[in-house]
Amino acid sequence: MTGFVLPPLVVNYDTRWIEVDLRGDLGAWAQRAARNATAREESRARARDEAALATLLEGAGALARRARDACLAFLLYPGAAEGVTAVVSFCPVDLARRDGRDAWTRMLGPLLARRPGQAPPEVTGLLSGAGPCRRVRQRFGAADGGHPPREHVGYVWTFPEYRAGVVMTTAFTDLLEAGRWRPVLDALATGVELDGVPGRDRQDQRDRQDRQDRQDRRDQLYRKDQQDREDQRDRQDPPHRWGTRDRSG
Amino acid sequence: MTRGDAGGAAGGDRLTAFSTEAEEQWLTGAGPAPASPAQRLPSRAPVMLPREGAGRWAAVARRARLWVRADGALLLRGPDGPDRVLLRPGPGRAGWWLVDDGPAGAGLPVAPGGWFVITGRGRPLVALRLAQWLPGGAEHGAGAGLVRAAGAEAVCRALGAPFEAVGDPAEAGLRIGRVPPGARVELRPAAGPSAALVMAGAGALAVAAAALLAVRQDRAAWASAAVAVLAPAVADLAAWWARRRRVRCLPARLGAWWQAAPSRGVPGRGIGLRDGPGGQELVLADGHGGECWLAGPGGGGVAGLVAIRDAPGRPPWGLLLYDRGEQLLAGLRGADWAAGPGAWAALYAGAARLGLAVSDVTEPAQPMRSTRESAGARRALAGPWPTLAATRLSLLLAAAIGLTAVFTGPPLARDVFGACALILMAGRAVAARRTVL
Repeated sequence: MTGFVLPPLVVNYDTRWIEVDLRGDLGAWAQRAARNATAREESRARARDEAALATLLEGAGALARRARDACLAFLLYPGAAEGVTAVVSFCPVDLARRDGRDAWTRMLGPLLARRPGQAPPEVTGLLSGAGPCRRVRQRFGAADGGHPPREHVGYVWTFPEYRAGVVMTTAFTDLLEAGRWRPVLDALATGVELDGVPGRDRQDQRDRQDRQDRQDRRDQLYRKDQQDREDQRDRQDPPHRWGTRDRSG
Repeated sequence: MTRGDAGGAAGGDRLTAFSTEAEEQWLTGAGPAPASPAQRLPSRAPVMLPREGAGRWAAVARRARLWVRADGALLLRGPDGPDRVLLRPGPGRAGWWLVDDGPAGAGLPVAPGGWFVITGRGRPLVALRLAQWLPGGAEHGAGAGLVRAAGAEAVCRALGAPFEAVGDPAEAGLRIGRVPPGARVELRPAAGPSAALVMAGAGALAVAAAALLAVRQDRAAWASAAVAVLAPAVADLAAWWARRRRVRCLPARLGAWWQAAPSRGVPGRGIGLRDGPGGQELVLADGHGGECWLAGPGGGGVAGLVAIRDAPGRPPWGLLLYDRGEQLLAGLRGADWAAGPGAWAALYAGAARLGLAVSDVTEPAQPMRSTRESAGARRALAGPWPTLAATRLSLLLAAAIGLTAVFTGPPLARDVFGACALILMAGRAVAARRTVL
């Protein structure tokens, strides 16, 4: 047992983002999301736009669902002119009792893997509402390599108190689009909070988590039992305490 | 010419929002695989052309160019004067599209479309305001596809420089630094009176004439009133004559020309080709003074036209112009460019002669702004005379002065009546201008 607990993450997002329903009826969700998105735009052919957008969102939603371990997924939809420009997934990672630097190594390792001849990944530190976050930008496929260049972006958090880490990933097949929307991705990442602990101080959080850990250990057997039952019921529907907060207004 | 008026699908402005009849035949196995524009055309020539426009901007659009010479030097041909070498050949260059709030980090004003900055050895060397260089009108926002269609990426490739976008001011400051004022390249049309200044001058002249008439009604006062009434209309006529001459002379200056055939003939409306300093160029002229210059098919630019019909066999209601990267560049109302079946056959033949492919698409008809309306709005933005608002001013002035002259009441009431008529006339002129804009 690793003591892994899903951190109570809350993602704050604005009108440029559409949260993907990872479990329900994809078609119904797409129609609902298209209606909301189209209502925000000034459009002459609204009904036609809505139907086209629903089709587009359904396809993008299916793509987001391919990340089987994702607990949250969002589509970056700045408007009809731009379309869906990115699919972002939040995935929890079991830190396997690693702490401190080991935890970061465990989280960043897969994102920093390099292929021969590629430029080194760029790692940038950010401060989010849920604590320190690191952004990793990686370029794949040089222009002379036969493949169009693409950029993968990952944002990583570690939560040793939960024995967990979280990685938010997306990819762009157009480097211009990647550069253009990077600030929007940064804003989404820095808007991530832990539920009930907005803008926390790290030490306070650790103290709080130490107390919570003791409580967690007492509850662990019970939780494990519950998890096993739920896993059996629906292996593709992992229990989670994550939430989102639509700040679109 | 309104970009994307008919192509505003949710997927954006790329042609992939539609499937052409040739593509549908291919998918059903009834036809060969259609060649994509990228397969058919050469790579994009490293040249940038100014945005579309009318009035004084049309002269800028015709002449100004930014291109990379074969030896790797970046040259600028401005609206006037000789060609200028902006950058000599050299290593270590990088191209940046500063978009959204990105320009603020490099000390540039945030602008629609952003800025195109070329750096060398870690310092900015050249900065272009992209709204002046994007295909289509300056009022449109820019996506990555449109920036590519403008030729920014091709220019960077010819300079041996990578091309990236930066939307974060902090990142822009870090990677680019502050752009010195001397590195900014901004196109400015030849100086001339602005529409607001001309209208204000005409209004002031009218007020002075009315005041003179109120004091004394001798021959000199009536002569000044006549000048005030006629001057705006004469200026409109002069502007119209100059524009007509420029529009009608355009086809003769081009290497190839297809004349559009709307229901009522419009001389000077059509599509033409010529060789420019950076490669072949294509012009879309509306016949009212508006010109849209783009890289031609020989320069890896405009690839073809999409004819959109609401049912097979029906005349197309819209024409879309797209480039090598399948980016939509302009939307044209079908009836304004080719009315009748004969005209459409001529369009297909004319487009083929210009090296443009024509694809058919079936889509429900959508309202599109007429070419004349678009031209009027563009001319109002660019020229000194907002369509015929100055002539309207003349007519209203004449009506106001005439009514005041025939008024038979006491002098004070006549003056009040005259002032009210003038205010009403000025309001009408301003409203006319607002409608146009």
